[in-house]
Amino acid sequence: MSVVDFSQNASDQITSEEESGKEQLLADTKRFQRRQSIQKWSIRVGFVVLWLGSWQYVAANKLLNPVFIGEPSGIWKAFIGMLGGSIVTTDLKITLFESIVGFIASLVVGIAVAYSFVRFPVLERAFRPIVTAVNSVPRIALIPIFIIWFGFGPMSKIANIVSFVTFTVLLGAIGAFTASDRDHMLLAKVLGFSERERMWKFVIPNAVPALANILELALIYSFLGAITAEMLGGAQGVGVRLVLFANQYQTNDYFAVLLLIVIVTVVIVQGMRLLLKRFLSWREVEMRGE
Amino acid sequence: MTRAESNSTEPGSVVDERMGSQASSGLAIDAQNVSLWLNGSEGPVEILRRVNLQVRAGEYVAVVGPSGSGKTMFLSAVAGLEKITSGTLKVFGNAPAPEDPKTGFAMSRDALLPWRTARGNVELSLEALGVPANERRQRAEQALAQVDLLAYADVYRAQLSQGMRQRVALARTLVTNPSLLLLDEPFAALDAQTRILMQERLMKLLGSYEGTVFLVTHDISEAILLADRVIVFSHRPAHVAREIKIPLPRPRSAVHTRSTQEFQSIYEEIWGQLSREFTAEDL
Repeated sequence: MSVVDFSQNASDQITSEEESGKEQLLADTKRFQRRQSIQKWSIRVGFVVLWLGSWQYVAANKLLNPVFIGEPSGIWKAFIGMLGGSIVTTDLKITLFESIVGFIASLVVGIAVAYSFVRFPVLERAFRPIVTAVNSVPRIALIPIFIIWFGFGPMSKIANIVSFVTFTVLLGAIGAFTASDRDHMLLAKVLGFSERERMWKFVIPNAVPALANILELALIYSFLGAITAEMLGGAQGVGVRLVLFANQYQTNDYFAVLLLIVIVTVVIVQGMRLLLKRFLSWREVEMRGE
Repeated sequence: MTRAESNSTEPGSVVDERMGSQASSGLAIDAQNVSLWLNGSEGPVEILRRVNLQVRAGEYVAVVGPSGSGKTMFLSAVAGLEKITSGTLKVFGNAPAPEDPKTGFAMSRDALLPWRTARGNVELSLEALGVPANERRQRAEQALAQVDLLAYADVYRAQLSQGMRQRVALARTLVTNPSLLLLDEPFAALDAQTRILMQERLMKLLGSYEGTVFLVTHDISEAILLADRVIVFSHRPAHVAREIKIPLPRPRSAVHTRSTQEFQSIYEEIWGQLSREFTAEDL
């Protein structure tokens, strides 16, 4: 058996040629990333400019009636004028209050019920068809009832939010709690953990990333629930203003309120993501797969 | 928590010496006429039929058998994870229970929790025993040092290689100092080269281990390398078809021992028995 000695090839020295090759690779990668970023931003900005520009053009030249479609420059003016006005200081505050209280209540109820369903499966088997049935009720049809029960104030709006966001949270959380790895469940058994410890050490940590997504969805739905209920009957809130503006053909003001809602929602969702970030650091490592 | 502290042997001692010093410690596993049925989709299925098997304290025993023969099910019963249908099964004289601190169970897949660091994963076994946090941390680090992963204590699963994950899992099993180590195809999920390295490492670790090892594997050479005695299970419903003593001297090496004449002839003997247990459907 003849053995060829390859050891001289495995020298620790990096030649200048190899060094320049390595630098070339780094430079190429950087250039590629920069080009991708430029492409992304030009498409993004280009799309928005084209969209708003054509809207502005159509409205300014009266190709379509600006009373119906509004006008971007007018919307912007209305939006600036709105800041500091009673829409922000009163109506937005009330809508935010309703949304956040409704969101928290739905979260607490939804997760608590999901936990007990997963911890005691007989409860889930017993209640599943009832949950499905109740969740099939078109919730928007309940708003007049909620107004009869709770009046035109925030309480009826909160009731509306809870009536459907709870189910979003409940069904999502059941999914998150039952998505545990089979090997992890076997390990919990092997190590002799109690049922309660199994939930807290294995099931819940595993559910956190999915729960974070559900939280985001639930928050957006809570705004939706508050505004819908306000539009159908309320004394104050951005939904009430929307109906008013629509009835008076104040299209620019209408869109300005929508813009305000979008901005506020995005800011709150981003804030929540930031708050949840430290619970999800392991997930990021997992996704990067270093 | 009682441990087999009476088992005083030198690391890497020869089989017979180890056996001799522990003959008095009694039986680690005592299975008498153990039968086990499981609920299948078409009614109860017979998995084990009157298995009789004894493992003395301090002994290393491996079970091999055709795939699906029920050897893993037997191990699960020893770990207290499956109930036997009839017969008696004792572990250190008691009924098997998963929360028994005397047994440590190593699974074929690492099952590391991705949200815990390597240290956190090792600490998990100690949490199950109610060990206080300070001691947990210290013992977890000792166990990680044993598998040469102390430098990776604060690292998540995703940042570890396949072999490193299996080592963390091994540290998780060893950290409780079990008197009975149950290994369920411990390296089946690894690639061929990593597996040899892991076997080598396990044997080195066992050099300073004073307890009993009970291993289930489909890898005949793994069984020969690690065990003092190899038990061949029959096809399902499984019973003990044969027992083969492994007189190879210790310490053994995953690479060199394999190439000896003795190893080869034992391999052939076991394979000869095992091949008889395969049914027509297996091929």
